[in-house]
Amino acid sequence: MATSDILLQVKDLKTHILGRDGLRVVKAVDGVSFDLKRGETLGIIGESGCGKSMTALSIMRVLPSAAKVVSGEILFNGENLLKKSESEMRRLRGEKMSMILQDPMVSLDPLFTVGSQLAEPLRSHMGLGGAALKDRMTELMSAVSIPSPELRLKQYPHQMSGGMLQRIVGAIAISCDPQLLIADEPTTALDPTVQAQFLDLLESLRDAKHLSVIVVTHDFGVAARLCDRVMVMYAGRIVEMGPIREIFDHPRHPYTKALLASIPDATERGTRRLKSIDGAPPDLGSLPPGCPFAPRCESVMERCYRDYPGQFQIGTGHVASCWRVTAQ
Amino acid sequence: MSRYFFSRLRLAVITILGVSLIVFVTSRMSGDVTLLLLPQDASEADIKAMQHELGLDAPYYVQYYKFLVNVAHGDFGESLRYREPAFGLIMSRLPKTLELAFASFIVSTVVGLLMGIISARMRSSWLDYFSRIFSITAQSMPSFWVGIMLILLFAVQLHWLPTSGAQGLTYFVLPVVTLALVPIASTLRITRSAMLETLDADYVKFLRVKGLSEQFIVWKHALRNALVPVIAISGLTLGFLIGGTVIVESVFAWPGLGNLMVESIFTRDYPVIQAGVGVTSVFLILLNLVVDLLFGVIDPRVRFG
Amino acid sequence: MATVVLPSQSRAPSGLTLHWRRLRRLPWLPIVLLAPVVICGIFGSAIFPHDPTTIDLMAPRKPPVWLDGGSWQYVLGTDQFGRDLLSRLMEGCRVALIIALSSVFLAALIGVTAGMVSGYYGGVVDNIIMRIADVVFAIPGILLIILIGGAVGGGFMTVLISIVLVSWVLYARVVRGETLVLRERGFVALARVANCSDARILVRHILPNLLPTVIVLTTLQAGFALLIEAAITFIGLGIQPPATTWGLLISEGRPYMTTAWWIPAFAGLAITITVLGTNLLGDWLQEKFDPRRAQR
Repeated sequence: MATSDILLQVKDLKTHILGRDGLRVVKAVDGVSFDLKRGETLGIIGESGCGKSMTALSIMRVLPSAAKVVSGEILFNGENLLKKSESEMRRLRGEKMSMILQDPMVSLDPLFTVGSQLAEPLRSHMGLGGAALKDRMTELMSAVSIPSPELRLKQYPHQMSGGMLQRIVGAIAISCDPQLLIADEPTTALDPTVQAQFLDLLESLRDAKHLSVIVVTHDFGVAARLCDRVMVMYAGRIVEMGPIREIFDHPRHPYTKALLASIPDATERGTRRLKSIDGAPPDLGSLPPGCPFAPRCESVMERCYRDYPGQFQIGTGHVASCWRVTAQ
Repeated sequence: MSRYFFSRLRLAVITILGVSLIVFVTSRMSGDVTLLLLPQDASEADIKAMQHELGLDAPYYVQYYKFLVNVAHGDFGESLRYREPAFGLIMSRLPKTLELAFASFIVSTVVGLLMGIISARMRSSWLDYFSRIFSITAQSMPSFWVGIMLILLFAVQLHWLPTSGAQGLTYFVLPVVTLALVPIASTLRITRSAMLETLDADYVKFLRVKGLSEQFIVWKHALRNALVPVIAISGLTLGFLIGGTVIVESVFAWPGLGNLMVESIFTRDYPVIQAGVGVTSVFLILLNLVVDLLFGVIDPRVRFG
Repeated sequence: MATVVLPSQSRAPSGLTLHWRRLRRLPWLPIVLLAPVVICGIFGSAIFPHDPTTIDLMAPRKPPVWLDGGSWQYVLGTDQFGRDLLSRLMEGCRVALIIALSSVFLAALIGVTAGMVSGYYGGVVDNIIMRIADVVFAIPGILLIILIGGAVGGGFMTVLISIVLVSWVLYARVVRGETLVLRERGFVALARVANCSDARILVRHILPNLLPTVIVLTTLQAGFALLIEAAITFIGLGIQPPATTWGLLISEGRPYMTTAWWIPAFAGLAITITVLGTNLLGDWLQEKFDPRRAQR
């Protein structure tokens, strides 16, 4: 059946953040819909502030206190997560779905050993203790290629390098064999030399455990390595979505095109000015009508300022929200 | 850890020496003690003789050295009023003051922590606003005035509690409330702000992502992190409390060290003042040393920085 | 790119709305609390309802107007000698202002200088200054004051010196910390390269960056100065009568606690309101200057 191989279905998700003065409303996520199949890796790409992290946090329902999901559905294994109680969510988190955050240095509590923090979900979700717990922890440490696990487990976060910490964060994330793994900018805070290693690790973990993964990133390189499909976000909405190869070779939305064009190419001959996108991202608290990218768009039309383009089908599984697409 | 301990210890010793210097210098400023000990019509020769006897004509560094030696043996001289060794007098009154100070410390820490945690968790509720108004007001009131007003209300008007003295448990209530008021306020503010910061921190987000319960997160992780700044200021809190006993004991006629100090101002009993300040300061410095060590236990970053 | 007029571009608010918005963001509560004190302090005798020194033996210990036996003539009642309490309170404002401002100014002068020198030069100088600060700080304020006051007696100078001695340490430590950070900043390196003298760097470059913190500290310390003055007066080392300070009013009023409670009560209230004003102002300034550290 088609539905049983879809792990996650997000329908028209809207998440709003209340400003500090209690009056301004920032539409961080403004009508996002997508599906994630089992075993698939989906990338969410965009600049800072486009709503990609908020989407991820909304799925896990670990939003900061000022943010709220105001409408939409999130179906995980057919059940609507937004209708679940906090204690039901708690059972899912860490166990069926887990997340890796951006900066490993601040993901862990500096006052407790790394080992005690690895043990927490194992104790709480799987009820492990004593020798079984130790075995599982050692197993996890080797799964993420950390040598001398006994020594490391007794250490504190500040005593380890960023790369090693992020691997431990990875170990914690997969410790209870989740079905869904969300990685929010997993390599952004790491040194470039370590980034590739970590991506290798993610890849091997995913393949070994048949994980479904959502990777949130601003880096197309990361997306290219890991993702089957990719969705590009801007101002809280999806502007283009499709298989990774399609998007790379035939981007249709002007924003996607601009993003891809702005990646500097180390192998390129000759001199060329770095292409950047003019203007600045819009204020999500007061979005104008029409397409939010219009002020910065190279192929903008008069219609773009007035009406918001819905999603238009381009090929199989490839959609984009742009009036130019329909013109073709 | 031991390196940390020894550096703190060295600092404590230097500070103690510095305090002794200040005490010594001020004692020499207090006027010629010989004039107090001799009758009015003493001759020049008599004065000189007495000065020689007291060692007051020796160069200052010699006097300081002798002073240190004396102090190390617990000799602060004799109380001008009571005609007993000043040190002994101080020590006999110290227990009562410590009772008051520690009772207030416990009350202020417990109440401050609890109110701070509850305020942080129930942010923007009426309880939170009340706590914040309470704490900023408490830090604005002169403590002796608070004491007087409390006596007026609870002892004089309502007759619920005794006005002064220290003969039983009820006698503790008003002095402790007066003394603990300001530390409650500062502990509350620090705890609340630390908790709020902690609860918004990324590692707490990760803890929630791990699916751990809010209770577990608050009481195991957030609290411990919030304790760090609280312990950091506990040295200051204790210093404030011990200083505060001077005033509070006066107001409530509590028979402790503070009361003695105030009395000694009026009777110009300088040896007692010296001894009191010296003993109290050393005590505080050592207490702060303990707090520093405790800090090392709680925060591993300090230990293996 | 074609020039396109962007729709829905909000217009800047007009002059009046802008001023109104600015006014609304002022810290009203501290201003309301502190204004009377400042006004009384400056205009003093011009606005007293009565001469605070006039003794009226016909009306000692009269209660405030809302109690039995009170009258509008003496709104807050009179003291044991029949002097109008409200006028005495107003007179106390002047001393309060003088003490708060002068002690805080001196403490800041000493503390900021010490902190800057300590933080900028480091090494032995830093060590010495910080050890001195440690030693002074190790003795609880009151005891230090008793130590000195007991030796040289009481009075205005004692009060001033005591407050300065107790307060400068905080300035020194905080300023030192900030100077350490500022010292590493780019503009300092540039100034050095340009061959600026150390003194010039300190005054022209580092000091202005310290100003926000120093202003916040000063505001808060002004309040503490008043509390310290009251405490010193209470133990007998403070400003002596016939001068009028709120602390003295509380001390003098203590024997009359049961017969004329309004004397110590309102005097203490005056102190509380003033210090509350400075604390609130200090908090507001702190939030303004560094929203990251704002109290939530």
